[in-house]
Amino acid sequence: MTEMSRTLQIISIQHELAMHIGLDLNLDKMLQLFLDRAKKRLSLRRAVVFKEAPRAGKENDLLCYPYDHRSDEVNDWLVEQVYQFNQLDMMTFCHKKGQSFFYLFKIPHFGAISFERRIQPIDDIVLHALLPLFERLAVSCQACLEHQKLVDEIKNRKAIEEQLRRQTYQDVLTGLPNRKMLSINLQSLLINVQQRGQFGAVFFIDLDRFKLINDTLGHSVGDELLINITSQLKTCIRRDDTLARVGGDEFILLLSNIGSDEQSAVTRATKVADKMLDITRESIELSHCSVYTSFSIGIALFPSPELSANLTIGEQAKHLIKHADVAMYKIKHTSRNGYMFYRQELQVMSAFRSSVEQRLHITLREQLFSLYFQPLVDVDGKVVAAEALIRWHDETLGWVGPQDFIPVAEESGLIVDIGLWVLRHTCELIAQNRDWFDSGKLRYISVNISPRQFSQAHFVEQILAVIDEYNISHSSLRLEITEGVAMENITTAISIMNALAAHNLHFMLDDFGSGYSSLSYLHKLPLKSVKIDRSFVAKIDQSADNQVIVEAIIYISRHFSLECVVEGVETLEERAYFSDKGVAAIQGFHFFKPQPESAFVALINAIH
Amino acid sequence: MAVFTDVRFTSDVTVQALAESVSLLMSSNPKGIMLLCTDEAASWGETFNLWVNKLKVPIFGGVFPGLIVNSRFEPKGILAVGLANDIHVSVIENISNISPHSVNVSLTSSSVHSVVIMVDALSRQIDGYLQQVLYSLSDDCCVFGGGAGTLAFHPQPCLFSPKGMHQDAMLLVEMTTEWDLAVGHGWEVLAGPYLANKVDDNRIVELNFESADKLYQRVVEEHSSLLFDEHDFFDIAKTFPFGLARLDDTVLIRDPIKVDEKGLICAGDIPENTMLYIMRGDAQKLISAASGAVRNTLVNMISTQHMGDCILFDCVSRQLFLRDEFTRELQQIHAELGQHHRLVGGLVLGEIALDESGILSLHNKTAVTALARVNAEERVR
Repeated sequence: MTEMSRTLQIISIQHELAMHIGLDLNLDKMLQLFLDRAKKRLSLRRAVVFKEAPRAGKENDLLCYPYDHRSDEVNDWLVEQVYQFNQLDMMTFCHKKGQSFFYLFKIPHFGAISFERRIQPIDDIVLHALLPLFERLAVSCQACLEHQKLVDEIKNRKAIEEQLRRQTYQDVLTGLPNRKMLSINLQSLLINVQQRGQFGAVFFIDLDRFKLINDTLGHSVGDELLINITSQLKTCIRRDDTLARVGGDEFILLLSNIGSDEQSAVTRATKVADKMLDITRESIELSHCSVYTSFSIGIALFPSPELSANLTIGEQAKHLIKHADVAMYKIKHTSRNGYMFYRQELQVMSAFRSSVEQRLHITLREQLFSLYFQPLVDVDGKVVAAEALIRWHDETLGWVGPQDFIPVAEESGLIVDIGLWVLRHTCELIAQNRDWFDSGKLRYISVNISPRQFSQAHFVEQILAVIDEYNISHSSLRLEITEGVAMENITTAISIMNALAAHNLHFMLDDFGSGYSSLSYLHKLPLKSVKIDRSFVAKIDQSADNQVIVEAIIYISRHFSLECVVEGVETLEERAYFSDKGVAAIQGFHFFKPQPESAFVALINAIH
Repeated sequence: MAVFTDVRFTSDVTVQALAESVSLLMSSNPKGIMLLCTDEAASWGETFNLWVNKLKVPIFGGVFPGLIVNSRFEPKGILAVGLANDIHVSVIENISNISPHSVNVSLTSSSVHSVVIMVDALSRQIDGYLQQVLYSLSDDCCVFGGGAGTLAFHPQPCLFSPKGMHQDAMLLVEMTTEWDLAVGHGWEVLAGPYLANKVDDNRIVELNFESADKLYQRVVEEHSSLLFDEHDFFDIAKTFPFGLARLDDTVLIRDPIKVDEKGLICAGDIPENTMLYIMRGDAQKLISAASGAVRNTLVNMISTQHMGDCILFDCVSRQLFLRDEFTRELQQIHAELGQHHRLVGGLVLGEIALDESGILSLHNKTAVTALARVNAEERVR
């Protein structure tokens, strides 16, 4: 080759390799492109880049490209040579091993590169021509590293933004949209509905008895149940629908495009609701147990004539959710395990409910309740005991029946103070009329204990404290609880009842037969008496089925040495039926209606 | 022990003829079969697949424009060669579309001494896959082979393996046989070098910042009496290939096979910013180079080693250039080997060879002769 040709060759090598530096911002790819070209152009057996970086488990602090660098005798030797070379103050070095020549070059501030050529060495003139290229390669490597750093920073920032977004709009436990996200989606849906002329629906879904499951089986089971329910609810909906978790055991579902008229929308919404209820027909299998639960679902359709056009979209959204909530409340406090479509009268009821709650606060503060008493009689009609019953006449609302204000009081928690007021007032009456009990005119007066009261942390101590305050005989007072209260948590109930029974304070099981108690528990509860529910007593003389049930209850009570009290006797025929059944007492309008305290006092005082 | 247990040639290119040839071949107890066929075999399809499923030894091979049997050139036929040593055949499919870096190419055994590669000549990314194969090789492993297909340049199945026929694929045939390679082309520098400043894979767009086809046309017409306007492009271009200068002063040939409005299309990739020469050749120099390479290889064989059978992958472009003189090339190569040595092979579209520097390249217009290495005490005829 002539000198001119040689010069041209050197220049072309430099040019060709230089043009193959920096062809990509990804470091691996950039180096791969350069190495591939170098191998071809310089007739190399192998070309490897080594980066200065800590390497786990190795003494040498060099990584190498390509990453799948094999560990064998030659490669391990080469790594050691490169490591030694890196410590030297030289830009290039050559090793001969067997038939191969290994040329090492430094890549400043990055690492080193090794070219392996077999049989024939590379001319010094060519080697010299390569040196400037590695300065350029070093710059390109740094650019790639900076670029990668930037890419990583952007990636991290996006990840943080995504996490923040999730935290802002997502429920942590279930991954569902949270209330904020739901509100955004609902408002968007309301706008679309106006434009498209399609109906939509808001479902307010409440998990029945969730608090009981959480309290008895633990929060981890409760969480698992919620996650399980979430995945099952998702199977009931379409991708465009929004299912959100808005509270402990509360979900809201937004259905869009479910029909161009109300009837179709109702049909479609009903199908979805039925599908959801099917989820809880069987028990839910969790990791370590299976639980029974159900849904109470309130449904509000939109567009709705009740949503005034004067309302903003945000206000309309709030009203819709409220409507669905009202419907859910209604179903939850009637039958549970079902669904109800919102209608205007529910709103009225809800408004009434809010008023009741407001007025209850005032009444409790002003102590404006009244206590009525309904006497219990024996089969001969002689008064033997009485039940204390709260009555309320409000100056704004008028007479408000217990069936209306007791549930409100229970839900709002006011029932605890109301129950305490009833207890204190009854104890006061007993204390003022000890002679009734001493003389045997009355055996006891009973007070009703609500579920909320019963589950209070210091219920036992509170009862005993009040009794001690009025210094009354424990046997003159009895506590009535419903089946539901006892069965909600049977173990706790037994414990509470035993604690009070130890102080000669006894319990009566009210409305027996109307709930879902297991008869096997009946003998475990430390009861004094059971009160047969009115539903079995009404027209018993004409109902053979009820007769069988009632006689069974009487038989069981007798077997367990429990007093049997019959509630709700209103006719002569009903009285006649029980005349020879050996019941301990009878209660009902046929004998006495609940009476104001003054009338009751006068009644008892008149007994000889 | 000879490397070939038997060699069977028939000019009838049908699966039935193949079955009969192989049936006769099997009586020599081969451990594998190399099958080289001409164009007509490309249409065998399912018939071949059904036949090969029943074969009890591994088979590999391809469809080529012509076959070589000793010093004879056969434009049509089936050449079945029984192999005495174990082989392992693997197939890499869909090589044009799957990145070579995403495929794990690895040899099955550490006792592999050589790898024969056959590839669909119309596939892309051939060079990338060759580099992946190179990376998995041990230092003393020999690699050679060629591109399969027909001069119609029509995509169709052109490779044989135990699984059937393949296209857009690469066959890797691992062997325990050791080979020495003789690689020679005989083309000489006519003009240049020129900077290939703009390239698109195998298309040269610009040379020295000028339209590549214009520069090429001007230089070639200056040095020959032929005008491109009056002849088919390849009729002239086959005499004036490009050459890539390498550091060891060898030249890698690149065959310009077509010209279009975008540039010159070559058989094989052209790296951008490389220096290219325009080459020329004549029949005598080409033939001398091919046979001379064989001679040099024989001379370099160490005394304890001897040559056995041989495989020749000769570029179809050389046959098209040499025409009647091509038989003389075969005769001279065979003469160097010795008439008592068997020489089989085919015309290939691109030649694959690992040179002594350890570079695995796809060559054009080159003759690659593989000489099987046998020890003196093993040499039996």
